[in-house]
Amino acid sequence: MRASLVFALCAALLLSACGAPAAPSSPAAPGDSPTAAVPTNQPSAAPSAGSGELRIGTGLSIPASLIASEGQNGFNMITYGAGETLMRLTPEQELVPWLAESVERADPTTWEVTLRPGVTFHDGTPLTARAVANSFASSWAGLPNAGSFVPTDTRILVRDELHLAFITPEPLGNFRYSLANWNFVIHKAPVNSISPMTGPYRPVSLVVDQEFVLERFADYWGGAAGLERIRVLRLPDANARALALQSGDLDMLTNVAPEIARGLPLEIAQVSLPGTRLHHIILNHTRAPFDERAVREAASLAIDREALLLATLDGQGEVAVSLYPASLGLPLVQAQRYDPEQARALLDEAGWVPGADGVRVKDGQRLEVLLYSYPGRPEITQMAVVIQAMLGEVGFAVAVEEVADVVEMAEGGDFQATMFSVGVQSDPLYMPALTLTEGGAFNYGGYWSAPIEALVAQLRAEDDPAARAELARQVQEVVRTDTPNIYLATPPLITAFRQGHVVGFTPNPNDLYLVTPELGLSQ
Amino acid sequence: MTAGRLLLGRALQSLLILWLVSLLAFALLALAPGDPARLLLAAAGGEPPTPAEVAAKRAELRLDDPLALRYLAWLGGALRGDFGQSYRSARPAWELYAERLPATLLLAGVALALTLVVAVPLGVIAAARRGGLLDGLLQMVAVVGTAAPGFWVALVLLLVFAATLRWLPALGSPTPAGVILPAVVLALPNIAVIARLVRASTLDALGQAYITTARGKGHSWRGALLFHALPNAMVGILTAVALELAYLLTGTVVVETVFAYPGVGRLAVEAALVRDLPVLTLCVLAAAVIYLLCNWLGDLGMVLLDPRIRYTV
Repeated sequence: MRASLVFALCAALLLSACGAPAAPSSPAAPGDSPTAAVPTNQPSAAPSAGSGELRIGTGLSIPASLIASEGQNGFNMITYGAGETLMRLTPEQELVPWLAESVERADPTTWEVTLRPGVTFHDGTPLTARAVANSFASSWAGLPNAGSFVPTDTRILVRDELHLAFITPEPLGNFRYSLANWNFVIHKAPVNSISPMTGPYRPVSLVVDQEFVLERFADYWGGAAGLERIRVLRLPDANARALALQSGDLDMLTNVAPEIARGLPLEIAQVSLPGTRLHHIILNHTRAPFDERAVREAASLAIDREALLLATLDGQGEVAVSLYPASLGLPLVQAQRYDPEQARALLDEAGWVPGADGVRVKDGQRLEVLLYSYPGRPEITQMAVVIQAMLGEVGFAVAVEEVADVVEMAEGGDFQATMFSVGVQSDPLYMPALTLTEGGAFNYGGYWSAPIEALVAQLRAEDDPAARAELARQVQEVVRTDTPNIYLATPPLITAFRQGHVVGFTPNPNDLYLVTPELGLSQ
Repeated sequence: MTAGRLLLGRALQSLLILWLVSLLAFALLALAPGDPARLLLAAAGGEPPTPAEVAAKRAELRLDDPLALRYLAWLGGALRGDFGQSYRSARPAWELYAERLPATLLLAGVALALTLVVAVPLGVIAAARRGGLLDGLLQMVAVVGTAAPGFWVALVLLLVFAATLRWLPALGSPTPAGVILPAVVLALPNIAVIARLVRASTLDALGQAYITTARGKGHSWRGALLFHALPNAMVGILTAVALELAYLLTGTVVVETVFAYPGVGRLAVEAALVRDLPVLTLCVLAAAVIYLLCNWLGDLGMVLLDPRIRYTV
């Protein structure tokens, strides 16, 4: 009989769990303000005196080792407060000195850097010009991509303890931006397999794929940080992560998916803002039908990006109007918009006439498109399916196919269109150089445009922010008239934490800067 | 056939199986679509790797060598106890596996204990009260227990016991509190299966002539059930329990992933996601070893428990 009772109780508990009402939604309701940053339930408590352990749950990768010059560890080191670069980007995406006190251009290829005095590495030694030069050499030696930001044949001259000069082989207008790149996190040679860095927290242990632990660095140049200890836990299951936050096993979650955020209860605070990533469709300019400008423009005009955002990201994030996410703070040109009537007119004008089944035909060829997608981010394929329906409305016949490795497929060049996502850097050169120029790493569609090549060349050499913004505007004008790719949306960056428990969190569209010295726990 | 020759035969058979498993695992994992170099670089975060980065990584991992050469090099190392280095962390694959194994042993051990403690009495009681309420309930629990997906049960238990009641931690760990929820999720389907097996075996034993004899000799019904029917029934389920143990040791992938439990199941998942072939191959090979060992243990247990089998051997 007792056994029966136990079973009955367990069954009742399970049933009550299944039938529990959905937790109230914390983020703004879909459609409320899909294009604006949506900070909700912001913490109100004052920053703490600096004690306690913050437990952060993430589904993203954590470092593979504690050596800053290996793989993409530098990214994680900055994210979690261990590493710093010479320059950094503020939450407003303004480029400001960090470990540098100033970076001045002496001539087109010479940059004079003055270091911030009083900075100490985690091993107790001071930050010197020689240490910075060694750090750059270590990054170039260990990180294959570092040379694409600051060329490996750049000469570094150590002037004195706090002054050094970088002499680049050719003028680099984006040099200051490159100094903010995580590839150049300032570090020393590892001691006991841990690179000493300069951040407010020093790494103490790592269990690969599981746990990354950092402790407060007492001699941090910016004063004592707000936490004694940070434990970053990599938890693969998104639902389990959310439940761990609700149970109190975690204090903070990063990169929360909108569908998970929707189910979090009110005692969990959420901060949602458009990130710096850009979802887009790469069009292949060497294959029909997107070798035709009118077809590219019609496809872009047929996509209702507001509806796309609502359908796939709960309306959070931001629609894309150009190749730059709005969060970068660059002046934007409305290069792409929604106008299905004009899309139809363009296709009619180009000779694509509707067939009996509604699919347009030209010279016996149907307007059929195979749109590739990939499972890396769940909303990508959802977007592809919605786009399939939208393009169908104006006479395209779109098939969606998911591939495991979209880069491998795209590099092969045998595609018409593919979904793609790039984490955009604030440097206005980044997107056009990588996605629109000949030889650009992500120009898989073989796009070529003389004006873009010229503008990118100017952007490479120019360092005046106003002049660069103007060049970025001109790039967008070319994008408006030529439709090289179809830009869709910037997904939201959602961070969740226990209400009133975590204080001093400063949201930044760039997830490189998650942990700051001000971050703390309420007493 | 002597016992020695029998054991030698089984040992050779096991070695052959292990070699075949290693060959298949290595070949299938190496030939599966997707480039380990690219996946490894992509898994580190940031932007998609450039072709130059991928080529450099492939060269570093010697992925461009012919498959047969790579297998022979791996096999040679494996015979010396060197299963290669993890592509991801550059640490010996065996070291990573050995680090995680105790946590999985604990989890499997607790789950097995839970299974036996619940399933055996449940099965016996259900057999003793055949057709009664408890028997009916057992049938229902068995169906639900085997049909409910592990990840769903895990999330429900997390919602109830971690997020709502806050009795237990949501994150699994090899600690008394941290192992309970993962162990329950693992044990539930096994409880259902083993309880039904115990019920069937006990019912079968209760119908045997020796039970009538025992009753005739003055044993109570309960005594006949516990001291005659149950030991005989246990012989029948021993193999099933041994295989369940093997399942528990190798089938923890979903549970360890949901609970972020630091065992070999999660190690295998993490390795599979980035195609960390040395670690993944070792995980597959270790699973084969575990199944072989558990089979052996099951056979040995039957020989020890059942004199008839002993005499046959």
